[in-house]
Amino acid sequence: MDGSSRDSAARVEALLRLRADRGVFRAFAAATDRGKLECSAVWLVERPMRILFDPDRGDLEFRDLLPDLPAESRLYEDFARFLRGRSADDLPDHRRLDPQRVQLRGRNRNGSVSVLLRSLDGDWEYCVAKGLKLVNEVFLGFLRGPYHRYMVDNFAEPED
Amino acid sequence: MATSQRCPGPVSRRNFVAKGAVAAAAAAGAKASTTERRDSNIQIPAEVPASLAEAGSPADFPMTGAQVFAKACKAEGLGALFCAPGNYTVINALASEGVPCYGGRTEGMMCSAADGFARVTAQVAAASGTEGPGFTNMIMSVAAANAARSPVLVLASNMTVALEDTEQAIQRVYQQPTTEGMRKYGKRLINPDRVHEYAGYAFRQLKTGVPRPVHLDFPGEVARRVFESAEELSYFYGKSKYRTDSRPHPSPARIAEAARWIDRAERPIIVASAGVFYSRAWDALKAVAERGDVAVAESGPSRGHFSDGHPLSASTAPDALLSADLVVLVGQYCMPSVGEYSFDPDAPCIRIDPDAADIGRNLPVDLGIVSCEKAALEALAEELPRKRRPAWRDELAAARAAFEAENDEHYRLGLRYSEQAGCVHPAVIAKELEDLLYRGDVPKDRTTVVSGGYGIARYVRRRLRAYRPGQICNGAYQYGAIGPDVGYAVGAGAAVLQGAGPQSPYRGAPVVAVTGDAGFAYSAMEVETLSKYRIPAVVIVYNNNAWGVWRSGASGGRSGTARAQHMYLFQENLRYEKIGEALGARGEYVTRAEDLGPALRRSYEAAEKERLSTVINCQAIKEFWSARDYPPGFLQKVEPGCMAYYH
Repeated sequence: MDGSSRDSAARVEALLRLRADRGVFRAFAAATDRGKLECSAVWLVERPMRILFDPDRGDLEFRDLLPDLPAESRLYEDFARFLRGRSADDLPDHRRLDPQRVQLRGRNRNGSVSVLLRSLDGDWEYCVAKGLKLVNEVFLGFLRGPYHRYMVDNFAEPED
Repeated sequence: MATSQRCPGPVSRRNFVAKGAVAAAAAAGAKASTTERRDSNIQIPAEVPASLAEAGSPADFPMTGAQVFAKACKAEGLGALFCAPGNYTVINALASEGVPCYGGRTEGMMCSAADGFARVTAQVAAASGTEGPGFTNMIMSVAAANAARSPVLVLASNMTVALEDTEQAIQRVYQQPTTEGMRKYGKRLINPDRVHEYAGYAFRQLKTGVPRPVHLDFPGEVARRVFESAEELSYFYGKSKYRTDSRPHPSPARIAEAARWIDRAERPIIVASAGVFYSRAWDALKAVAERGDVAVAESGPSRGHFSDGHPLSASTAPDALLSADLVVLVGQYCMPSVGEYSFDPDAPCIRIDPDAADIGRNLPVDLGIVSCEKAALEALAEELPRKRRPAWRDELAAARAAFEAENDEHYRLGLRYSEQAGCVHPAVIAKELEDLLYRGDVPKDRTTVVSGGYGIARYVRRRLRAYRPGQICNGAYQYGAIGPDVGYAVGAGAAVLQGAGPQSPYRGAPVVAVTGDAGFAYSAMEVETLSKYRIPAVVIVYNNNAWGVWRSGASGGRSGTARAQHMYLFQENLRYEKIGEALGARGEYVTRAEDLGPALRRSYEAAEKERLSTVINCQAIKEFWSARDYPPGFLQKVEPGCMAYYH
């Protein structure tokens, strides 16, 4: 791990801590293991979110963000479409992920869905900000669609 | 009944109106017509219009404790009393003093009526019940009023201090601990000579800061004690001496800072909640919004303090919320936690609130301003540089259009599902109601709506619009009590009938209430109260044969088992409209989408022209909440804005 990677990890951690200090996260912890940053944040749901950063690859990952989502399910299909739509030309800049700067993809491992953002220009501030906005929009926008039951079953959303 | 026989004869609804049963309604020009139901002999007893036509007779010394208290309530402008008999000396004194009074069927729903009245007028309303049972019947409604921050004065009689802790006679309970945690202030009155003083305690709490219920219980020694003169009372002086109308004003430095933040932002938004309504700050709010092109989304137990028709309204633009880069919460008494409002996590937050101790609770705040909402908004309107934000306006307009398109898609699907299932889909109810209230001959600001129910609310709220303060009473707000909706309708309807506060221009207009079949069970008897007082209401009951959460007990549900399912279901095709008919209202049973519009129009016309209420039973099926079988099924919600009811 070179100095540049260390600096990148430190920068990403600082950017996430900034949100913790602002009270965006209710709880936050970070640790570095073999140069990779692993954070835990209690944010939009009660279950802690795992946020991983691999400075060598430039990947910011929201690991296992959505559980119990089989790849063949309609919800996952909708989710994949939602992710693809984040770079649509008709979105305003403040809502859009610039595909020249960040590559976005979802990964489904046995029904556990992670979201990865790969920075293409090393602008960690942009990558972190857009990643957080994206996850925020997943829970406060996308999942406020016709997915009430999924939220009840997986995130203890009140049934009432 | 015997007393009726001694009166000039039973009172037809024609006579009732002709005798000016409610002066306010008569003044509003309510049209008298023959409305007796030919197939029943339901009649309003002659004593009702006769006693309503009685002028108030303010008491003077010698006065009972109850009369002293009633006099203080009248002087404070108590908007109305809703009660079931009990606490006799107090409710009789309030009626004699000239406070508008309504007697209903349960104390609980009368307490909800007081809450509904407050939510659409911003005025204090009272609820009263008898000792023990009547009082405890009110508890759910007190808790709901507390969660909604409603200025409800809860009055309940208690037997006597002298026999405290005995079980002599009946109905003894020590009330005050029961409302602990669901009120702003409570007191069991002990010293009779301090009864006026404690009226002062009550109204100081009800009319300052963040409102919440106040609970006073009246032992017999206080209510019945006779005072020969003012000298026998302690602290017996007027409201100008026991409370102040002065309000906390904001720090000029903080206002200047807030103005700078707003000016710098590209997409600022104000969340205008209960405090804007209760401080009557709607003009100041509009001034701020228009001066700086600041978007406004409403939240709270009532809507309309910022018109949905305004181009800066974000209440029907849910997708635009995530674009805001500065959030200003004004009078947001019921605070969401992180993740409950759909805002960008990096958007700074300004909070304006009269209670410094609440600023920073639940949501982190970047700039706190302790102030009366109206004072702060007026100061902000002065300080804020004029600015145009055309791109933000365009984004709001596009988000509103997208939301309407989504609603239209729901309607298109709803029509298809209605046809397939042979009943009425909730999206159809929402659309037909919207057409009636805002797209036809009815002026769109005319009708006050109680927006209740559970699943049905998720569809209807998307299409309900508020164009003036107090136009929508948000039913199951925050506390989530389903069922008080007909109670709220009594209160909101009484407010409109009286022309109280912001309802003044709409005096006598019909009100509409939306509820579900589960909820209707809790308050259905109050249709009788609507009918007795000729409060013109259209009550829409969404009848899907089940509790809205029926899927929790279904075999496919995560925690459900087939064996649990029966607990969630009702008999199918129940005829709730017949309950309405049995209680003196009209009934409509609608089983086809195409019949709903005409039924709504007939019902509205009966309310408008004959002051007759109607229960419209809209037959549906529980499976409409299934996203698999009838997508989109049970809808989620986005807050703040028109869908809000948690906060």
